[in-house]
Amino acid sequence: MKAIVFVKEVPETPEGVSVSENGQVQAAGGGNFLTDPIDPFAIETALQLKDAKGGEVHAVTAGNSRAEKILKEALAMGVDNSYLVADDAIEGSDPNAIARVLAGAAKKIGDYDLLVTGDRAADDNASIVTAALAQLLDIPVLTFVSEIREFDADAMKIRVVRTLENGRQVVEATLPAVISVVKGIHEPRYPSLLGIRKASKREVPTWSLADIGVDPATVGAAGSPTKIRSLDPPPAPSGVEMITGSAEEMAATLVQRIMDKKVL
Amino acid sequence: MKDFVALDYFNMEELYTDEEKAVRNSVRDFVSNQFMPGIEHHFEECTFPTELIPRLAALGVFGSNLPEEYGCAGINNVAYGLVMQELERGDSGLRSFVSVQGGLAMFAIYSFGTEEQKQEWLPQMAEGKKIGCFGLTEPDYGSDPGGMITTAKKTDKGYVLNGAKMWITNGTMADIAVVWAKLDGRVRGFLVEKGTPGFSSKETKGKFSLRASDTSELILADCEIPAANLLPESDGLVSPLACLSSARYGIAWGVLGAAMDCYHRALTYAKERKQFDKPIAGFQLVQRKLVWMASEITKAQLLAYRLGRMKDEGQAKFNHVSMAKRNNCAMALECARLARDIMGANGITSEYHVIRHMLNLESVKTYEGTHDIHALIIGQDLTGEAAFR
Repeated sequence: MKAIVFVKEVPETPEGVSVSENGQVQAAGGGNFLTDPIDPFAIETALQLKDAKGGEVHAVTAGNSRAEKILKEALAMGVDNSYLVADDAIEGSDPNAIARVLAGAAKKIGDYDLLVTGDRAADDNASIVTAALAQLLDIPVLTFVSEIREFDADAMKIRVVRTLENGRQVVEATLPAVISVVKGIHEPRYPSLLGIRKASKREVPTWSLADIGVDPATVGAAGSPTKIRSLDPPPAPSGVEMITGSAEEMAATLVQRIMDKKVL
Repeated sequence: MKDFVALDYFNMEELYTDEEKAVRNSVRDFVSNQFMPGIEHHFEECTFPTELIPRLAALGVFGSNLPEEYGCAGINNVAYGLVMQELERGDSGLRSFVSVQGGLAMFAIYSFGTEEQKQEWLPQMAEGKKIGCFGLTEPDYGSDPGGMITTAKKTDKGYVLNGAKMWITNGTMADIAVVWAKLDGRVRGFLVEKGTPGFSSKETKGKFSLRASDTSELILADCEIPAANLLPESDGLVSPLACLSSARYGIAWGVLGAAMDCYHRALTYAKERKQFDKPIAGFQLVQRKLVWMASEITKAQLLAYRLGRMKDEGQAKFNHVSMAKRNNCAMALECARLARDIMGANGITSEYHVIRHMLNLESVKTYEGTHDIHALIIGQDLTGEAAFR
């Protein structure tokens, strides 16, 4: 089994996200960057397959040298190798162009059975890269995976549970395939202290676009037809309603609220 | 309660390496997600969360500054200190468990054991499959351990131990006890396995402090152990004191975590709690308390950090450890008391956590060398005069 997990660094807070001049999501200056909170679930999914089936797990991100930190976190969790694709031409890429870069990295690693991503990134919430990867590599895509029921690299078959807003689907695909996983598919392991120490001493190979055979004209601003016009933070959670009145009135109001929300 | 925000008033973050920060963050996440949900229950019930032992082992916190060849993580002493900080942010009982396992029991075997003893015990202890304790203090010999009356006598098969040890963390759950006893009048270390005839333990009841921690008495009544269970490199009181110095180093960092948690909780509370139509954080007397806490925590962070770097460079001496342990424990206890004070009546409940820290820190200030004894150790170093002899 050979899996590649695509990880991403995101700003620590929603306030750290803005729109660049060329219409792409970018990090506002000065803030801290973290591994996307969904990524440990994707890494854990691949590591559990490796634990069960044997094989190897690789992690890849596209960005600048700062992103080496999240690749070392992936190494500390237990992936076998991490790779950084860093090239000035990637700046300003939309999700399709990023998928083109990641597909190039996947081809360079080669012989993969499974590509794994999170279901959506914390900064743009776009959920585009997974599907775009599948299109570019001409392999099946299974999104919003909450469980892997069956994985057989020899028979080239995967069966998963997809968790959707209106229910669950059990679907099969041939391998190789791309999957995106949802939070809760597994409990991510904590990077062990030994893993962290070893990872900190590892060199993370850095690839340019030339190294992975991607034409610079197909990425960056030139290769990104999608432009974001504006970006708004998610609405704040609704406030608390204080119910007033006599005990009977408060009880009646509470029951009504519960019925209105269809809790019962 | 808002997620924990660590006080870092003097940008300590710049001083730590990426590796040290990654170690801290992993333990911080573990404590927040795995330990905190159960601590109120365990403190109330006087139990240690034994179900976490395999997960703590997988994280690699047992003997984490000992070498990888014995199954340990081999992190440096600053990273080790940050591990202790994060564990004690959860509870002093959690940090005590890990300190005794690694800083005392494993350290004793590593420092004074044979290669066979190290190979037999250290990997299993790092994996949490064997739990260790450390028996030095006796009912009548606390600050004066050299007066111990536990004896070892040579026999044809090995050694016979007689005596009793008090206030032994992990004593009842331990698979292996490092017991200090006088052999021909000289303090030596011995490994006593659980189940050895003549060896028993009794849990200490009625504690108002370190309730989520196993504290026990060890009883050795004609307890015969094999000759191979002597720690051959141990020789004199200096040997257990070296172990204590290792564990005290961890305490100097650990209590920072408790103090930082108290500060975070008190600050959050003071901003949210309104009296006289404004948050109590806006009152001068409350601000004075918060400023004292922030200032003393910052000074203690710098002290621990410098001590850690000195330890990694081989410059730290036991008197430096004494100063850090003494200062930081007293500081943390006062922070907990001030946090409790800021929280008023709410501060006495387990839901607000600070009184749990406060009760724990009364023990931590006392164990592994009391506040006063550490003053005498530093005093002796400064003046050349031993005030305790």
